[in-house]
Amino acid sequence: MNQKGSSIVMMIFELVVVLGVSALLVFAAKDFAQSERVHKTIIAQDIEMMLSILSGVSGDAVVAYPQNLSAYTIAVSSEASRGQVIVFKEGDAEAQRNTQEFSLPSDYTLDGFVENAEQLCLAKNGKSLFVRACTADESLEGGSP
Amino acid sequence: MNKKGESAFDVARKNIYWMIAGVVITMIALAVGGIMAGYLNSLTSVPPKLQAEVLAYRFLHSADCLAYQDVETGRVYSNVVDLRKFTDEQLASCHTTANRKEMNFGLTLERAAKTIITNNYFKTDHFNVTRIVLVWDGTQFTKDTLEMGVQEKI
Repeated sequence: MNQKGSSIVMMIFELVVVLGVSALLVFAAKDFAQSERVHKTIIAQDIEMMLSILSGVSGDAVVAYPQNLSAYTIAVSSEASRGQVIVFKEGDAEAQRNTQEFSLPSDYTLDGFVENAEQLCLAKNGKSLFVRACTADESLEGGSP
Repeated sequence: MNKKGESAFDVARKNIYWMIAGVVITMIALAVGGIMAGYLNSLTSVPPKLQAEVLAYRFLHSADCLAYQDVETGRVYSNVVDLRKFTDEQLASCHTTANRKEMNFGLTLERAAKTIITNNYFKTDHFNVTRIVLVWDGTQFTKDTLEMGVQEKI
């Protein structure tokens, strides 16, 4: 290749690298800036704390999450005194799901899977904690967003 | 210098340039990633004192933790500590952590001079939560101060 041809190839290569790096940074920034990620984290943290409080309440109780969660799926489970809350949207990859773990009193169980429910209810029945879609009455009690 | 020499010099110069540029670009990309992750964490962080208060609520309000429960009526007395439940084992059944990165507690009843701790507590308190409580020792109620040393991630 002559010198002129070589310098043109080098220039194209430089442009491709610069454009590639710029695109990578812009996509990364866009992904991080999406409020969706923050919303999922905040919802998971809220539910985790509400369940933690519920586990300390004596007697049975039901509490409604005061926000519309119809865009999200909530999955909760427990294993060996550890509770887990997962918040995600339909079609989310594993890495896009937000997971929060927390301690539960021993003998307590946590269970529930709620998909696109407008209002989420968290309930305690004996030593069982669960999440489910609120009924019409509970939604009224829980208040609207 | 002849043409061949100039061409070899140009290639070497470009190689050195791209080696340095590669390191700089990688550092910038890592810095941007770090700044974004830090910003995201600052947006979603829960104040540690709030988390500690949530767990302290559980300790003092649940009969499965430290709260006194009347055997006859079944009534649970909030903020009344049953001294017979004030043991490491009972606290472990109430709050067990997977590692030192989670919140651990050292609970001390000052007047009763008793201390219990969670499984990953190493006396490196970051802050304290204090409650005035009643203590039931099986015969009578006495007023006491419950000092909860909170150990965050270590």
